[in-house]
Amino acid sequence: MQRILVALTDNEPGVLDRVASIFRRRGFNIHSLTVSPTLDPDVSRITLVTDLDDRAARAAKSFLERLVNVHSVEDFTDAGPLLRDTALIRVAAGPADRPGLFQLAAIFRAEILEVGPESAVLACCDAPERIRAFVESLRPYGLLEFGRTGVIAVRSSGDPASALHPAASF
Amino acid sequence: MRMKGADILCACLAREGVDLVFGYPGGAILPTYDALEASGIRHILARHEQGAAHMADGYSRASGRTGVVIATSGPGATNLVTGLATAMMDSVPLVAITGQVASPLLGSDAFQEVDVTGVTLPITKHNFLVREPEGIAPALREAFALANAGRPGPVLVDITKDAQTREAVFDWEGAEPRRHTRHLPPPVPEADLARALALISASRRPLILAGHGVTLSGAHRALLAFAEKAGAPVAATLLGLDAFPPGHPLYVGFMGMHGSPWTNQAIQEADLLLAFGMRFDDRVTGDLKAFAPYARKIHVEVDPTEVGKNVAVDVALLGDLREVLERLAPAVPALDSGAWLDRIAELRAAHDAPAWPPDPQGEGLSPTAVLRELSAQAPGAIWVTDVGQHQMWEAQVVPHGRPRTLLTSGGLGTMGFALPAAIGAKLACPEAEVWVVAGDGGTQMNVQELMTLTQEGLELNVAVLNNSYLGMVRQFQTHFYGDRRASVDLLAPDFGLLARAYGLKAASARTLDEAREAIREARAGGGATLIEFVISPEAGVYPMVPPGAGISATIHTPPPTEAPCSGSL
Ligand SMILES: Cc1ncc(C[n+]2csc(CCOP(=O)(O)OP(=O)(O)O)c2C)c(N)n1
Repeated sequence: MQRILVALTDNEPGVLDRVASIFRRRGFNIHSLTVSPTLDPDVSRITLVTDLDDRAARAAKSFLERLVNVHSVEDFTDAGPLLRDTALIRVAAGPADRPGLFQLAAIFRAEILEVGPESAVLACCDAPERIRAFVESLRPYGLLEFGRTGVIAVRSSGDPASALHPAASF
Repeated sequence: MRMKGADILCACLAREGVDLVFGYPGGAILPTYDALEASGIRHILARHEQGAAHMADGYSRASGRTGVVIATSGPGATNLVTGLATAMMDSVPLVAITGQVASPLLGSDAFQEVDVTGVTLPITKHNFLVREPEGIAPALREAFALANAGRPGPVLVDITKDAQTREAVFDWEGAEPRRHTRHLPPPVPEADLARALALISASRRPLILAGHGVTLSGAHRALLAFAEKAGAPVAATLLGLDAFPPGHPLYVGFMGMHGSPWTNQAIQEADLLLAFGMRFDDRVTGDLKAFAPYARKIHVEVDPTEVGKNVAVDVALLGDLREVLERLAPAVPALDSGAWLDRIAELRAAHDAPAWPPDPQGEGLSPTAVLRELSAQAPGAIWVTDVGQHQMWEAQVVPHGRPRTLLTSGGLGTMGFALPAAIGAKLACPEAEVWVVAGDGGTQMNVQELMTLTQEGLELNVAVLNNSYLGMVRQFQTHFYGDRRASVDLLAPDFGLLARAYGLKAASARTLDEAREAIREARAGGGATLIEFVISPEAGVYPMVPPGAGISATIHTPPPTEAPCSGSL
């Protein structure tokens, strides 16, 4: 089952290594991992997407919490979090393909960053399933290059549960 | 005040109350050694950094104080790895300080550069790389605090050479540690205590499983008070053997792979297990599916990651064991456990002959008879054991019961641990009688530390149980590999000559009479003695639960079988 863990950590060298080690040692795969500083420059926010059963997820969470550099960890999976992932896609598309391409972009609220004689670059920031659907719809053009940031997650505004860390989850 | 980094380091050690450190010098840590010389802190020069790490570990286990080990960069630091892993597995508070190449050279594959924080990441509680003299005091203070906070463990501080030589302001107060409190469990809620008490009150066949946490949290008295008030019997893990008085009517004995069958059977028949500072290691539980099928479980543990890791529990009390026991004891009822104690006595009566465990069969000197003689002559000693058959015989035969009197590598099972750890223990407790119990294999692993022992003028005695085999491996081969003896036939040096070469007295014993005499002479003093006991080569450790089997599946005698086995030593 897909799990979304969000951790607040010290923003210092080596922390990501420690976090990733917890998963490596137990043979847990990481699907996506994003890190960025929070408004507090000393604190980073890590969003981890994995597929673990309940027991493994609990273990992963508590092993993460044992790390000295980790302030707090929350399993967002059941909280109906809002997820966003950004993809940059270069597709094979000549001038004749542009109308179709523009239509697709409009449907998926994607941005057209560049068009060239034989290819175009599009950006899409959306929920991971929507990005998957967008990519599928582009496939017939011919995908040339594809990069994705990985998922970031926040609780939905209707979720009353407490924030991760009063001082640092802005 | 502005000081050189190395002086700041020594000043921090002194303020942490450190008056003794273990180590081995080298280029990248030389500034610190230079400063140490002037600091008044005593330094014990080991012969190998692994030895130094085990010394600091033994010092900590025997005294409860934080052991400190110092090594240079590169090979010095990598030689600490086994010692750090040993301390990590047994939750021993340790601070390791390593030198590192100068900060401009970091990452350049400079001479003697190793990514030590990377190497030790999984075998330390935490580690630091310090590149600035300003960072030394905060890292060191945090390291000491972390080593002792919650579940203790080793912390490493890697300090670049230039950080040791450059100057900075020494600000002790400004370096107050903060991170160590981050994950300490809050006080156990009353509601959880009440749930535990309800389970205890409803129990007719309770059994306390005492582990290393009893010693680590100083809970011996609290455990005794709790057990006596509740009338609950107590079984011990290997590292819990010194947690409870062995002669006490409630003491049930040593559990697990080489534990007594009645102890393991009691676990299987219990309706409530009270796991106190133990972590359901696979050497204790055997096959989890067959473990304690009728028992509810209460786990008192300071490390949340241990709760529910191997065994699902009904109530988890997260916190310091002593505090929890001191809160529980006043409220715990006297249980109606008479019939249960009778049942355990009945189980025990089936095995508990005058000599338990029975002496192993085989020609020659019996190792258990030797250990019985040793413990009869030296009843108050600190026992420091290595890893192998002798370790298990010692655990079965020698009564421990005073805290911090059995030092052994339980979690990692590190051969070569005993001699250096005993040196640390003797330095921690100079008045105590200290005995090393080791095999001929393990003795050859860190034998060079005999010279450290002599250089420091320490009086401790070394008992080598020589069976001319890597005995425990041979026993596994006998049972699980059709008795095919691959690479266990071990040639040893003349231990007498060797001991004398290192400046010790030496004796050799082939009969019980010779053993008795040799022990008597060694104890009479006048220097350290190494006694080689030439024991029966084919003697085995029994009872034994095959790895991966349920703890009721006890093997009592050595008939070779060819059952396949996935165990490891
Ligand atoms: C460093 C290390 N290497 C290998 C092992 C595996 N091992 C466990 S017991 C044992 C044999 C020990 O032989 P010896 O020291 O002679 O003691 P005995 O079992 O004969 O009492 C070995 C090799 C280990 N525990 N530690």
